[in-house]
Amino acid sequence: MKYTIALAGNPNSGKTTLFNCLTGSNLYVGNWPGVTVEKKEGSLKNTTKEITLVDLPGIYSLAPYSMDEIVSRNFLLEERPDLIINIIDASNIERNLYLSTQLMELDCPMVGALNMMDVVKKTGVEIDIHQMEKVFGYPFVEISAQKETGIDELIELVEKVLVDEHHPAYPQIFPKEMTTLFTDFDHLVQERYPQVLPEYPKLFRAIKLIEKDDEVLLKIHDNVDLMNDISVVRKKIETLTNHDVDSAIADYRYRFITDGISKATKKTNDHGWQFQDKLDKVLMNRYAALPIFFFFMFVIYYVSITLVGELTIGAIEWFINDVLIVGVATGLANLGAAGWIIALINDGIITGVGAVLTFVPQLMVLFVFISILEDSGYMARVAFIMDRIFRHFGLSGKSFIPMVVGLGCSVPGIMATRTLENERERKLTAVLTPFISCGAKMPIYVLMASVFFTSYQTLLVFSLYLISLLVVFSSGFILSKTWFKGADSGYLLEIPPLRMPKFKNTATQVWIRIKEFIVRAGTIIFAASVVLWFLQNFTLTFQMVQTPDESILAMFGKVIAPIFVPLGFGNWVASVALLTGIAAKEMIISTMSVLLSGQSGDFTTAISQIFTPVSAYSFVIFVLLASPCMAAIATMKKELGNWRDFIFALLYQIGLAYAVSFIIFQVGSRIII
Amino acid sequence: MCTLKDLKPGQKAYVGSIAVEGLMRRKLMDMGVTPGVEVQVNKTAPFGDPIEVRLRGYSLSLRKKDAENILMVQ
Repeated sequence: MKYTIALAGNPNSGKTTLFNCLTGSNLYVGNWPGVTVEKKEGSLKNTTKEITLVDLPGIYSLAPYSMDEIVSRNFLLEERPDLIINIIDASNIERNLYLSTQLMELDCPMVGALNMMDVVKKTGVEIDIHQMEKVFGYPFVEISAQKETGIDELIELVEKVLVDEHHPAYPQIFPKEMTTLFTDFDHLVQERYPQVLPEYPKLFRAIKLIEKDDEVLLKIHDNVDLMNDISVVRKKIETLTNHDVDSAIADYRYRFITDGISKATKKTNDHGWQFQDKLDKVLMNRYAALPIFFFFMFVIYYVSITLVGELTIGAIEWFINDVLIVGVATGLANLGAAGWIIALINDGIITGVGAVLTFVPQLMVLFVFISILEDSGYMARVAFIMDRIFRHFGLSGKSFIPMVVGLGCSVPGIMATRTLENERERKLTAVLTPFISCGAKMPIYVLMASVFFTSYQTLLVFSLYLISLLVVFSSGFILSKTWFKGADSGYLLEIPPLRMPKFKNTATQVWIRIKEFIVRAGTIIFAASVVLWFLQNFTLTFQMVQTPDESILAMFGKVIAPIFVPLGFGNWVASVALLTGIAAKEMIISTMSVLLSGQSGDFTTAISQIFTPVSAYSFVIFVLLASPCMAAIATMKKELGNWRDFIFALLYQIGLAYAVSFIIFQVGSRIII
Repeated sequence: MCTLKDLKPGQKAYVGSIAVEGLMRRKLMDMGVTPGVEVQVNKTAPFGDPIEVRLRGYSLSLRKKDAENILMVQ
């Protein structure tokens, strides 16, 4: 027997950590067909049964506000898992249990995993899990996903509940009169409108109809009679409770929870969050908050680009050029390999792939910092600080989170826009996020900086960062008043407690991202380097070229190069590099290093022959702002949903990049002679 | 009768009613802002908006524009 179980819980409750604990090395990431949002699936380890665990996006309730909430809800309703593991942040138990009260309506067996019990115990709170089971009607287990305690007990409990044929009915959350109203209403629906959502769990269907849930209303297609019947019940509830329907239902849920936990928890002593509060007072201080934020950003760039870059780039380049290439050449020559094979391997593959790998240490450091920002809870604080500013530009403070994530890679950045509830803000943020430079573009800046701006490397890269912010803000301001017009959604954001980032978590995240980068170097960039080498070494009549200028690639590059003449880099090498950069931004450097490898002198000398400082700056600006790589473009299409917005976004990004580079080169080349 | 917006950092009060309709109303309720719950204002953001409040054992931030619609009782 195969089982599917779902892992559901609030955002920030530790779901992904638990998912990794439960699935171990079996983890793989998959996209579901037809669904825009990513769910993770893996098989449960340490069990004899065949159990697939599905990690759903974090949600606060089963009401459909944002896309990730809709995805979680649709999975639970349509795929009907055999069991739900409801993960609850026990240090925030009251709010976390609100989702439980809704999951209970789905009539699906459930197991509660009380996470972060190590934190809870430190604050002097005890939770009686047997009492919890009595109150809420499903079994609980104490775990710490971080410290990996209680995991075996959780798996045992899951197995036990899965084979249990009859799971007991959940307790009534609402008072008797309300429950009667719900059941009577459901009978009425079944009798009069048997075609209305027959597959849905009864109580869930009744309550969502009464709540006039947007998704459910869409499915009943304005059935006027049913709407009238709904109004009748709503009136009854209002008279009964003296409240409107929404507050009555939410209020009863919370009352049920508060009563329940007052029975099941015991406070032995009262520890506050004093240190937290003090730290927060500094981080979010009226005057210091913004300087602190920019200081962090500056440190991130300084450490990853200048410090680590200086230490590693030279060493890796020496290894590739003086050890590897020389070694391969001698080795292959000794084996009697043909000259063109040695050239292909050295000038094509090692040069192309190596140029990208040079930057791995710097990217690792960048990813470490981003992961720390994500794990520590600082992101939400920055959103809080920035909301007021972002609002002026048609965005919300929450738009900032995708943008910070986008510093690593635009793909997860664009995907992170799903947490924004408002469609207009979500689309706008998805269009603006690629303007924030991703990690793959960084090597290009570093390269150009090291050739043309030796003494101001960090400053140059930091200036790009500021320009991208400027572009984001001005574009947000303009687009929110033109293409993406509309009302704002309001802003509600949980501020999680500050947490010390866990080394293991950071290491895993950095490893996943770096692996992706290296895999790309080993596949796309490897293949493209080989193809490029051929295109560059043969003429249209498939003769070996005498000079690269005669190659197929050069001819092609020369056709498009004139477009870039006003921007200062109208040479065929840069033009071809920009084209291959569409596949992956890492390709830009590989392409240039492959194309220039035949020329005399080393790579940096060759670069300094085809660029001037001003045209190099104009080039990096173009790379920074022009449409992202294929993967990000595809993600953007998916998140925008329609061709109209998508084509507009692409044209906007390319057009803006062209305009800004144009201005920089035209103005710059007149100032600096 | 005052609104959540009028509370100073450190002050506590109970939610009376929520005078806003639609999505924001339901979202507030889902996040635990229901009649009768005790709310304490923690702080105001550096640029004066949004504010951060503590309720039901966690911290929530919301804009003054929305806090203005939450009526409080002492």
